[in-house]
Amino acid sequence: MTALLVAEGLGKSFRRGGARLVAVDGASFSVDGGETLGIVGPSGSGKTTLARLIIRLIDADTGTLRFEGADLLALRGKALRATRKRIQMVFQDPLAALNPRASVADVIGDPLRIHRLADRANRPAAVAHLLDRVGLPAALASRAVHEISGGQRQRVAIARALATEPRLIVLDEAVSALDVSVRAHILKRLVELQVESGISYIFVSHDIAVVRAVAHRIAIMDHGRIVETGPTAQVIAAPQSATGKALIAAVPRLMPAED
Amino acid sequence: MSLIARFSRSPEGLFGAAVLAVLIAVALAAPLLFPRDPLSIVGPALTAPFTDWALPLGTDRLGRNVLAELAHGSRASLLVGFAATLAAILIGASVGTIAGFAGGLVDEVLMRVVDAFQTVPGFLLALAFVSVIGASLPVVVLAIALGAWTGPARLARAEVLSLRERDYVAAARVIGMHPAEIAFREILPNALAPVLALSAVIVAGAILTEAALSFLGLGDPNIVTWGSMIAEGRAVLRSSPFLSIIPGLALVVTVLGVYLFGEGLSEALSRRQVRL
Ligand SMILES: Nc1ncnc2c1ncn2[C@@H]1O[C@H](COP(=O)(O)OP(=O)(O)OP(=O)(O)O)[C@@H](O)[C@H]1O
Ligand SMILES: [Mg+2]
Repeated sequence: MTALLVAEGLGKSFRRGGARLVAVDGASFSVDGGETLGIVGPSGSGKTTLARLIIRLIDADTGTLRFEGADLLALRGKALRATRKRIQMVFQDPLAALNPRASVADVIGDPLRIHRLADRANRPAAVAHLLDRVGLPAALASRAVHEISGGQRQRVAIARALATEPRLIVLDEAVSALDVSVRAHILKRLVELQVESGISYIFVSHDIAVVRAVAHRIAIMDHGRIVETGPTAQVIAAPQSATGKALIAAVPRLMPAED
Repeated sequence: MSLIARFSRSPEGLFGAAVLAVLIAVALAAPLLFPRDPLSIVGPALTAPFTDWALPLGTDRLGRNVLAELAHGSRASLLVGFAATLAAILIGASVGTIAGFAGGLVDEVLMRVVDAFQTVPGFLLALAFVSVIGASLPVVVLAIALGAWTGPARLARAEVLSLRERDYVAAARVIGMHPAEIAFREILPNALAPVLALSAVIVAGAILTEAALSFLGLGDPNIVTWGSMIAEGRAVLRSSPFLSIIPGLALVVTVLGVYLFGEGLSEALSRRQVRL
């Protein structure tokens, strides 16, 4: 199978006062169609920066990024906006990631309108269908974003990401802000959607237990570098890197002996 | 609690609202209450107020009905005040949004223009503009807006700078929204509340500037305004001070009312923000 996304030597540094802080340092990885790549690492290890590099919210200093065989970093303006149809993102805080003034119908309808996937007349039906895909009632469409619960908001954010039928969704701590039962529901739904449509996910989290539930492969980050990559079961059973060992040791129920 | 309920708990806001309501009613009803041209002569010149019940506030130097002039003058004051404020906020919020959202060179250039406008006193700017282009109502409105848009521009820019880092703006980029739509549809409406809180101060200032321009003879000559009434009264200030005092009082009460209304409104708005 050819890889959907291939990153090689991606790097990004920020200026901090006078010093230079390397947030992502030569990250290389690939994601296949229908696959979930989990990215885990301690706080400040550069996961969010990497996610934002992939989604082109910030520009990489070094490295290459190929998506469906094309150079993603070379895209600008209109061409980039058109490509966004095929790569989407779900943010950590669903309240912050949705315009507080918007209605649910606006939030989910915007990508349909922008990419001309549904005209004004067909949009309500398309929105209702997307709400159904994330397990929400169609009646929610008319509600304002600030009126619905955190779990509902995150499902709305996922429905927005699904609207353009992307090939890849980057999820940055997408379930971290949710309580345990809501989290389980959403993870289950994400996996079901993947089985239905063959979509790929990059699933970023500091919580290795959550990543294990959804990821086919895991990449472990520390200090901006990817220090270890491998199939989920293998990384969890026998982590090679010191960071991997520490992360897995911190979650007792993941210890191989108890599994 | 709704905005109106919160607003009604502030006595100064209610007072301002009452003053504004009366003024707007008078301005709207003026052509019905005083259908004759307020500049037409209706009686003997310089009738003192409260002496003739047909002319409650007396007549001016030329025998014109002061009450009719006052009522018609409120139309000019309110119209210019609101129109100039609308123009100032429209221009200011747009410039501030573009500067804050685009950043870099665009921001640099636009903010230097704002600086340039801010170093010239607004009244001088209006004076220069009207004397060059000539006095008419739209020119006066634009002239006043020219001196008042920089405040909204700065405030909108500061709001936009903080809003554009929000995740929902990043999310709008991720779905491929055009930058212009992000700036004006996603960011600007959320940046508007503090800018609108400025509007009362701008309306009050605009009403005063309009009166000052009229006082100097630079208002629209075809309409009565409180400023031109005060200027007219100046010639007979010693013998008939009421001719200047009456429109002067109207001006003070209006500006105070607008200002207090604005205070009440921004207080009600900020209370909501604390709750959120
Ligand atoms: N815009 C920025 N300007 C300066 N420094 C930044 C910026 N964004 C991130 N950093 C720094 O880069 C490093 C990596 O941050 P990043 O947010 O990518 O980490 P993370 O792995 O997502 O952490 P967390 O688990 O806490 O979300 C941190 O030291 C952070 O302070
Ligand atoms: Mg992060």
